[in-house]
Amino acid sequence: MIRKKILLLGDFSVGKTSLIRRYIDKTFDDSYLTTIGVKISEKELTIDDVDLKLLIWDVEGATKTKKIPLAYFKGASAAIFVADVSRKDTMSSIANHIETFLEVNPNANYVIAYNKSDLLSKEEEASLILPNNSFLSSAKKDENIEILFEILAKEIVTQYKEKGR
Amino acid sequence: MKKINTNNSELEQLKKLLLESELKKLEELEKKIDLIKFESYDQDSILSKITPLFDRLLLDSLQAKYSKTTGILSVYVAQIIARSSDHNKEELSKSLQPIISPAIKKEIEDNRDGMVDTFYPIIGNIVSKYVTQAIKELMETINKNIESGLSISKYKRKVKAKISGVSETELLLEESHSTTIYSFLVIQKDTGLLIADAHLDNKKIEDPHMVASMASAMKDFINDWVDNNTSSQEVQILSYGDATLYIESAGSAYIIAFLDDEPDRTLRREINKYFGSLVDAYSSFFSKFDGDDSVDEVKYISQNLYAQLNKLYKVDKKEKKNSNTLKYIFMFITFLLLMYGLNISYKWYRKHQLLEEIYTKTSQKIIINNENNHLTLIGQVDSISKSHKIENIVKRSTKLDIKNNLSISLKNLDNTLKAKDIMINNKIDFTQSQHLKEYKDLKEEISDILNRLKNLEKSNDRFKNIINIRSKIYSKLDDSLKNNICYESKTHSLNSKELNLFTASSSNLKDNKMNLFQDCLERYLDIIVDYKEYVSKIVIEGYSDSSGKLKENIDISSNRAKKIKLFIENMPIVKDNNLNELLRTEAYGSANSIFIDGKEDKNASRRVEVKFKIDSKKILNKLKRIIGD
Repeated sequence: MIRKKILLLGDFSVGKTSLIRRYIDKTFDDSYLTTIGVKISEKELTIDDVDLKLLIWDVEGATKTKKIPLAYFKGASAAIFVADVSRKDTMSSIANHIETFLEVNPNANYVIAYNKSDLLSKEEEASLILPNNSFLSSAKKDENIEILFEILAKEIVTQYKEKGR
Repeated sequence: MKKINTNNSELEQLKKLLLESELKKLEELEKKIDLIKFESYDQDSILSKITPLFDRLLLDSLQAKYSKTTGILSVYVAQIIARSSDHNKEELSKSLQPIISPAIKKEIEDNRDGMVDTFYPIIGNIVSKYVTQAIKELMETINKNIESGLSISKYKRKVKAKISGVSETELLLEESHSTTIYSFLVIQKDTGLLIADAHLDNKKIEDPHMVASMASAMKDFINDWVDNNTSSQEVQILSYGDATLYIESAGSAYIIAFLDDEPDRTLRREINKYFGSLVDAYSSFFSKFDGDDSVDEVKYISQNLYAQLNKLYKVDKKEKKNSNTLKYIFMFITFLLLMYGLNISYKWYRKHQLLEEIYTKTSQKIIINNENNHLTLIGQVDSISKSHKIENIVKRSTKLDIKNNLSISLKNLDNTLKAKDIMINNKIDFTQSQHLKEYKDLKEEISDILNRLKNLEKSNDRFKNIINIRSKIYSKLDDSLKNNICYESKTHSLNSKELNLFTASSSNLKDNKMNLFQDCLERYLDIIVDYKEYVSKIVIEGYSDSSGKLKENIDISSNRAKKIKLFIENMPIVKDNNLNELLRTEAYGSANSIFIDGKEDKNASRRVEVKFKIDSKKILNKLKRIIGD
């Protein structure tokens, strides 16, 4: 089995915790999130006959008064950036989150989840232009949640196989 | 204008008529003016009027939202309190005391957290100060105790303290506690991924991978916080509840030991030494680790961790066992001391109780000393009897030997002896009369016994007589009829065989032969008559010779017996003593014929035999009566 660290990043209240709750097997109590700014969850997958355990770090969004240790970012194989489609500020700050993440992990993969898609009207949804590796997701309706993790998992397994193991 | 001249009375009357109501009002007004004049000079009156107004005005002002009154008052009230505090502190304290205490109490009830925050800087420091002082004093006490203690480990500890620079107290505290490591985790520092882990069998962590990530996150979080707070030291120990994490940061890995308590200096050194050896061996693997746990290094590290964990656990168990042994020895010694103490207390209590009993029963205060397995009674008592009484009381409560060293004053002794003398005399008189009475009783008893003895002797004679009745009769018969031809000493019966009494085939008696047989019968019956009461019957057996027929012979023998019976019945001794009722006849025919040298002596066969039978029942009844008497 191979184990990898994956980060879940984004502003406050974009639905990171709801999103992960839809997906994971085991998790630590939510109180850790409010205490040290990170909550660890676990998900086991089998991709192309390779057993994979994802240790998902749900990192709290930084604020002016509260900073998140950059050490949390270290050693992550991939990240999921989450924004709230009903709040433009959260979408625009995604770029900053990605930049910070790549500074620490320049070779890591990532996907972006534009969450709370259930709040959008059809017109709004149609007019939305999403960048590459981006998905409209809804934790409420359980839409496009698994695919976020599976894309990253597949990428991890591919890299693992390429290494010749 | 012309002036009208009228007299005064008329004018007055006219005034009254015309201005009656006005005059009344005028009078009332005059009275009011007088009252106002009076009140304007009377301060009490003014105060009573103004005060309610002032109160109302002040109240309105204080309640108004934007009133300046509150601001003004607060300044002046503060100034007044400050001045009072300078000039009359005690008075101010007294005045405020009843208000402040309930106010603080109420505030604590309403706003507990706020009050805690307010008082914390003051109380916290005070508590800290005194706790520090108390711990210091405790450490000093322990140090003193260590100084005064004597043991090999003490000197070992002293040397260790000198070398390590750690105080003996800390070493002693470390020695007194044993910590168990129940898990090792090796975690890659950057990723928080678990490289390898080991756990004691009963202490498995449910999901070590998540725990590793979380521990790593916590460590990062705390280190980040510590860095921002200008501390150069890295966090090594995290404690939560009963669990403690000892975290060693080694290059690209965190090595974590999970313990049940904070590790002491020795254990830390041991853990660090072990972690150092792991880093030496696997540091390059730690940095290269990419989450693949199928590689051999992960297995080797796991095995290594398990080996070390078990080794430390065994040592810990051994130490705990040793410490338990010491603990049991200590408990045993404590138990012995406790028992010794209880024993001494019990002895003291018994002694105290005994002295109290002695005092209650004799009114004497004495001392009891326990020396070399015997009790010594010491003190002065009023009399010898009391001394004895005390000795008896003590004897009842102990098995030890008692040495009575109680003394009596000479005066008391003299009185005691006099009293004793009187008592002895009285006792002698009493004893004499008692003895006389006893003597009389005894005499009567002896005479009674003698009488009974005589009676017993008599009974005994009678008894003997009765038992020997048969032999007596036989003996008398033998004496009386010895060498008589009619008497058969073997059977003690009379037999006529030698006399040839009867003629053949008849019961007729030969005249000349009967005299001799009569003499035998008289002698015989003369003896039997004396024992008549024990004789059941006198049997006359008739016989014939063997000639003739059986029936005829029986008839002849029967007639012969009857003939002799008739003869006997007519004998005076029989008649006089009513012996005839005992007489019986029996006929035997030619049975038991008499042969001499193989030839029947027919004359002898024709015979009668006279026998008597003793009544055994009568003898037995007689014996029973005697025994009953």
